[in-house]
Amino acid sequence: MDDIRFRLNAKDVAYAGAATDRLLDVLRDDYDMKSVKCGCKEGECGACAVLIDGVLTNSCCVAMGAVDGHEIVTVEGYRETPRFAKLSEKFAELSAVQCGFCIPGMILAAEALLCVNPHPTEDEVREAISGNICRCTGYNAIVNAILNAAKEGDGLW
Amino acid sequence: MSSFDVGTPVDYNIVVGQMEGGFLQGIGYASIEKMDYDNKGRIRNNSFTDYLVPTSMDVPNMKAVMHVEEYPDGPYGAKGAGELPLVAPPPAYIEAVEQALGGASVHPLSRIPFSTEDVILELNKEVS
Amino acid sequence: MVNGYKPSTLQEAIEIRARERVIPYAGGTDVMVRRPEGIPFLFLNNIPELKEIRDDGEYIRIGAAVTFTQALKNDLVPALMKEAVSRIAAPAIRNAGTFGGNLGNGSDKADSVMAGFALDGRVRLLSESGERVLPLGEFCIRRGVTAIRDDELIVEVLLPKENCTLPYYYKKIGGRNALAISRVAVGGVYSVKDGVIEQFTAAFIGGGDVCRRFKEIEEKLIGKSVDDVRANIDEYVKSYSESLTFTRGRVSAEYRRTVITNLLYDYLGSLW
Repeated sequence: MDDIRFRLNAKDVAYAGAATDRLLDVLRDDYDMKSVKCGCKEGECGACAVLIDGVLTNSCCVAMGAVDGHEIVTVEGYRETPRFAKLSEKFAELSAVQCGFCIPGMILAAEALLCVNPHPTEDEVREAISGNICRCTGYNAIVNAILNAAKEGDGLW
Repeated sequence: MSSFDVGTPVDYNIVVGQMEGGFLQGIGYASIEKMDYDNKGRIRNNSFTDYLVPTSMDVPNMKAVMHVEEYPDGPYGAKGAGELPLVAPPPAYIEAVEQALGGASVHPLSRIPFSTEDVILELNKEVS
Repeated sequence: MVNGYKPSTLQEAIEIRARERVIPYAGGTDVMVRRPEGIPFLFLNNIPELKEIRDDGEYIRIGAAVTFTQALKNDLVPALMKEAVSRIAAPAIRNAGTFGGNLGNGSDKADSVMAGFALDGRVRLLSESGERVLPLGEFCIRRGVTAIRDDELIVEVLLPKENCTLPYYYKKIGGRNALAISRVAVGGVYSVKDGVIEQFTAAFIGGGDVCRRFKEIEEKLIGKSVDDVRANIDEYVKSYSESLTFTRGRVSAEYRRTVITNLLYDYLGSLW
């Protein structure tokens, strides 16, 4: 049987397990990508969101067979980028991180938005993170952090 | 709009964050966070699909304002902050719904959560 | 691949489907929540025909593995379908969820199915024994049950072009503004010429254990003037609310009845 081959944070990897295994579990347990959080296992919270070929996807709803030949980015990879540095700065400034559990998903949702829409309105930011549940912040600080990163991150996106 | 007095906010941004977070929890508590039990006492809403919490698109135009006044008996003038913001939003929300329905004399409300379903059923009482 | 198949052609896929018990996997957003044990997945995302949206002159054809996000970016997809699909769940789910999955999982709350039904859409099924094209109303039997046979795959949804440009009505009522399953939804297309209704459809989510339409009532409305409809609106709404069945689920039957009635008054009252 062929391994499932994909790219994880710019590295080529091969997975020998079952094609029906859940991507969320494999990322956390086999590849140690602990930034990918397990919240609900039903696609309703966004804590497990990753970028697959740049597209925001809930990894709890992805089977390994579907990632064969594709490119996955988690925060472990994204945090090396200047875009992350800007988002991180703005999140810290506004104390948009409280318990932190929703944040990796929020960061990748922000990246997915700013990639296609570098100057979003507040409503567009709210829609972009509408699949990421946060209980601590009431969302305002996160939305403002993303808007500030977009404003100041001229040229980054 | 909500105003909070927690004495001296030790870290202003964190405290405002807690106020906003608690405020939204209170709104959710009052509106969409319905928790049902079956006759054996087991919770029926046992998944994220079945227990609804507010998303970023459900946030009302909420503004948290701090009333800053040092509390003499607290460390650095601070008081406890975390539990406070959950307390006021639910009664405020229910008051607002009550007023929108015509006032307490017509539709006295005294339970939460009071969802859109509850509003519809309440309005239906007028017709029947 | 262990416990999975990744065919690159439709022919390969239907061959596998014919000889073995597999679970078709397009976006995974439904299958991975149900997590059936031990059955291999048939990954359909590498088959080009299933990912296409095209106009063949008579129909807009949307492939079974087309995601909702893809559909939202495509000019061929009709406005009613886009509106229905734009309210599904949240961005990450729309990026993965597909037309084939929304149809195949037999949900009575499937938004793209309701919009397709309102547009008089059909579904094309393929197996080694041949092809079938069914109207959506015939494909959806009841909650969890579709007309698909064990060896068939959903290939595409077909939307008649002449319906795709008609004015439409669509309202979805969920539990919150995002990540909300439809509790009640009403969608339809219509055309009015010289004050007379020439075409009219109304499809419902939340009025039965499957998405519903009532051709008999639609036919009563066709040919009437909009003034006549407004003058007799109570009767038309009543004939609908007597035909729909309201059951208790996450919300009560009374809520569903009241909201669908309100939406019908809104729809019929807005025709012009």
